[in-house]
Formats: sequence, C-alpha cells, structure tokens
Amino acid sequence: VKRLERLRENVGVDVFANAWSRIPERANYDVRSAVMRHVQAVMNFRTLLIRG
Amino acid sequence: MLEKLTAKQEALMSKVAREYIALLTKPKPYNRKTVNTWLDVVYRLYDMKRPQRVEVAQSPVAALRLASDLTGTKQTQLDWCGICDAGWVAFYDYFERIGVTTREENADVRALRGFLSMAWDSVLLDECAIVVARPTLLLVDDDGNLHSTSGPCIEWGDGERDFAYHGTWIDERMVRDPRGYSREEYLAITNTEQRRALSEIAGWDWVISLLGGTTMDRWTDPRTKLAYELIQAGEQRLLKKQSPELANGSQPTYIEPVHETLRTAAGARKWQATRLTPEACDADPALVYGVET
Repeated sequence: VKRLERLRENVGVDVFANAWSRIPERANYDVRSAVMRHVQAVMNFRTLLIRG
Repeated sequence: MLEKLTAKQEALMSKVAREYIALLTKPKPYNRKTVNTWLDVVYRLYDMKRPQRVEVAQSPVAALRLASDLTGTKQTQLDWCGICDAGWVAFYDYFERIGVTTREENADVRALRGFLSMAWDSVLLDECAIVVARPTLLLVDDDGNLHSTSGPCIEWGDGERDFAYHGTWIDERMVRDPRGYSREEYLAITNTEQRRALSEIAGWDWVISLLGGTTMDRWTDPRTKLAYELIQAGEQRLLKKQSPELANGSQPTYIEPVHETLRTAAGARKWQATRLTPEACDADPALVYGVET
C-alpha cells in the first residue's frame, strides 16, 4: 500500500507570506495596526475553534 | 504610502469584520469549483498539482481518521487553514478593497476566502486532498463564543458533536443533566472555568446546597469592589469570588478550594495569590501585587 504524505500543517502561512510582502511599503504601521484591531473579533475564530 | 485612513475607509473596517464573522455561522453552500480553485493555489505553492482524489470529510474526526489510514501514521492536527484563518483573510481583503493591493496580487488570498466561506479546514496529502465540510450546527453567544445550554454548540454531518458554555468546552452531562452531579463529582472538576460553567447552568443556589456549605465570612475589597465569600463545606473550605469586569461587561463568579485553616475571605484571597501561610494571610490580608514574597 502506498503511503501518502502531508504537504505541511498551517499551509495558510505560505499564502499570507506572499500577501504580506507588499503591505508594509504601502501602508504605515498606524494603518496596519488599526486594521488589525478591527479584525481582532474575526481573529478570535482561531482560539474559539481549538478543542482543548 | 498610506498614512491615514479616511472616515469612509474607517467605516469599511467594521463592515469587513462583520462580513467575516457572519461567515462562521452562515456558510455558503459547498461548491466544488470554488474549493478546487483554492486547492489549485495551495498545491501550486508546493510545486504540485491538485490531486485527482478530493475527499469531503463530514467532520474533523473523520478527516483525521482518513488521513491516518492514507498516511499510515496517526494524524491529530488539521492543516489549520480554513475558517480559522478568517481574521488574516479579512485583513488582506480589506487592503485590497481600499486599493493598497490589487485584485491580481490578492488572488491567492481571495481563493482562500472562497474556500473558508464554505469549508472548515483540510488535511492536504500529496495524492489526496481531504476537505472538512462545515458543521451542520454551530451556535454562538452574543460575543461570538461557542455556546449552548440546551444541546451541542457544534454538530457535524457524521454525528460528531461538542458542547461549550460561553466559549468554555464542557462535558455533555453539564448540559443534559447539570444537577445530576454529586458533591464529590462537582469538587473533582479541577478546571475552574468548567466548574463555573456548571455552577451557572445548574445555579449557584444549587451548588451551595449540594456542597452543604455555610458562609464563614464575607468581604468586599474596598478598592476593587469585588465580593469574596469563604464557605465551609464539610471539611473543605471554598472561596467564592467575583471576577473583575470582563470586556463584555460581565463579572462571572468562581468557586475554588482554599486551605482548610483559613478563617477570613480576605485572607483566602491573599492565600490564593501568594505563597504565604494561611495564618499569615488571615493576620494581614492586605494584598499588594509585586511586594509580597
């Protein structure tokens, strides 16, 4: 039986690395942190969904 | 370089956040083409092509079981790439909407948005992509935390289910038969959040009655206005204490075991926060963080 292999866990990290590469030179820290604060509620999904 | 957001752009931030929060409880119908678009993106990242075999698992448990079978190794983690990444996707989506990035530059993130709007997560293998379907039921409280006091807060297509109380994972029994716990079973719950959850579901009056407790001392911290109550329950002593105000305005109550020789509620509060003896805490219950040793 052929054993399959995983790509990697948390594959989104690689997608976001590409997306992030353009942001800092186009939006300053204050803008980036303001956006980050507003999506915190969405970020909570990550902790919300971890089954302990 | 964008240095300041306009009023219109500021208003858009909340709108985007609300859109993504809504995706958690109101997923779109599963669409194979949308899912495959994301799978094309992610396999391309690793210089691979989407495998012909794409399996839709009805729960994380089912996905991990299949992945374990196919890899020959016990798999315990999903890819952590799907609905749990909604925050990051919202972040990048926003920058596209205000023109900081272009539609072309954001194409991969947009593909992930399509995926997470109708799927939960995945376990991606070299020759099989396992996609986890959305749950058939997902209930949250006003703060967006998983929550239900009448049944499971989350239920999957294959019958897997879980229970939570305002974001704290709890046993099914706490929902189905909260007052069925014996005194010993109640005291055996060592997770203080789970004990609080059961106490709130069953009612604090029931808890005090169950424990056969009598109040030894009450004290309200004059500085914080938080209330404390030292309870004698058989040979055990318990401290019932009020939380400082949380972000949502609530002040939950906790009940925790303390040393059986403590005599005052204020001393018990200090005993929990320091390494001092019960006698020393009762004698001088003033608590100043950063000073006591």
